Amino acid sequence: MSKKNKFLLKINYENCKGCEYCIITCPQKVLSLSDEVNKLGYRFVKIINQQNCNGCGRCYIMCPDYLIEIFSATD
Amino acid sequence: MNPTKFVKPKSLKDTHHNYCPGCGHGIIHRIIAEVVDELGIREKTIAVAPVGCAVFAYDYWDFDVTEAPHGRPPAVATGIKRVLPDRIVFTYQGDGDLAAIGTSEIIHTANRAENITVIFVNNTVYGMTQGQMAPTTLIGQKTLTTPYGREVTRDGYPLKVSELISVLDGARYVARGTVTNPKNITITKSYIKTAFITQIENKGFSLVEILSMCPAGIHMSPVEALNWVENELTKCFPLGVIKNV
Ligand SMILES: Cc1ncc(C[n+]2csc(CCOP(=O)(O)OP(=O)(O)O)c2C)c(N)n1
Ligand code: SF4
Ligand code: SF4
Repeated sequence: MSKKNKFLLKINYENCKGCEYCIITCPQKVLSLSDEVNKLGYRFVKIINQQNCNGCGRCYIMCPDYLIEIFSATD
Repeated sequence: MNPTKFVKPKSLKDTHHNYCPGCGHGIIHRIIAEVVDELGIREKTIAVAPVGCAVFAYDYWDFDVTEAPHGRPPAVATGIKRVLPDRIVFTYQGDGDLAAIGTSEIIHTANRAENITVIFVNNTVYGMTQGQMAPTTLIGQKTLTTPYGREVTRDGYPLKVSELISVLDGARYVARGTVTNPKNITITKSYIKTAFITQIENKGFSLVEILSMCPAGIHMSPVEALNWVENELTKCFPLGVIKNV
C-alpha cells in the first residue's frame, strides 16, 4: 500500500465573517457556509468534506482574515 | 499532525482585524508580511500607514509601523529612509490617499528616485468614509457622490497612477496586480518582492498598485465585488509589470 497524505484544516470559526472566498476557491468542495451565526453575527464557513481535502492551500491564500491553517499527516 | 507551509507569517500579529467581510486589505497585509519574512528583513522594515481603512495597520503587522497624515506617507517615508538608509521603508496607501490628496507627494517622491517602496491599494472608492468617488472610480460607476454614475464631462477619467508614475525617470519598478484568486495573489506577491529587492539593491523608487475589493464601499457582496474587480476593473487598469529598469 502506498502512503497517503491526509490534510486537516483548522478554522477559527469565531472570527469568520462569511465572505465565502474560500468556499468559491476550493476545488474539492470541502467548505460550505453554516446556517448558524457566530458571536460576530456572521454565518461562518464550515467543513463538510474534510476527507476530500488535498492540501492545495487555496482557501488559506484567499482568506482575508487568516483564519485557516492546514496540517498534514502521513499514515 | 505537521504544519504545512500554509500557516500565518511571523510578521503578522494575532490581532483580529476590523475590516469588512471580503475586504482586500487583509489579503494584501498577509502577502506583504510573507515577503518580509521570506527576505528576512523583519528587524529592518519600517512601514508608513495611511489615513483610510488601513489606518490600524500597526496593530496587524509585527514590524515597525508609523502613521502619516492623509496623502503624506511618501514624504514621511522619504524622511525616514534618508535618516536610516539601511532600513527597508514602504508606504501603504489607498487611492483616496495616494491619488487625490497625496498626488503631489507621490509624483515628486517618484521623480526624486527616492529609494522607497509604495504599495498602492486601488479599490476605486474612499472606503473609510463610506464610498465616495475616488480619482480611480470607473466611468459610470455609482458611488455615494456619483449616485447616477461617474460622468467624464463632470468628473474626468479614471486616473492611471501606475502608467503616470512609470514615465518618470526616477521610477525604477512599477507593476499592477490584483488579489482576486490564488494565481493573481501569488503574482502580486512576486511584484511586491521585486519592489522590495529594487529598494534593497538601492535602485530607487518602486511602486506596486493592487486592485482590491471594497465590498462595503461599492455596495456588493464580497463574491460579487471579487468578480467585478477581476472582470471589470482589470479592463480599465491592465495587470502586469509596467516598468522594470
Ligand atoms: C487631511 C484629511 N482629509 C480628509 C480626511 C478624511 N478621510 C479619512 S479616510 C479618507 C479616505 C480614505 O480613502 P482611501 O485612501 O481610498 O482608503 P480606503 O479607506 O479605501 O482603504 C478620508 C477622505 C482625513 N482624515 N484627513
Ligand atoms: S486546502 Fe485546498 S482542497 Fe483543502 S479545503 Fe483548502 S482549498 Fe479545499
Ligand atoms: S470600507 Fe472597504 S476598504 Fe474599508 S474595511 Fe470595509 S471593505 Fe475594506
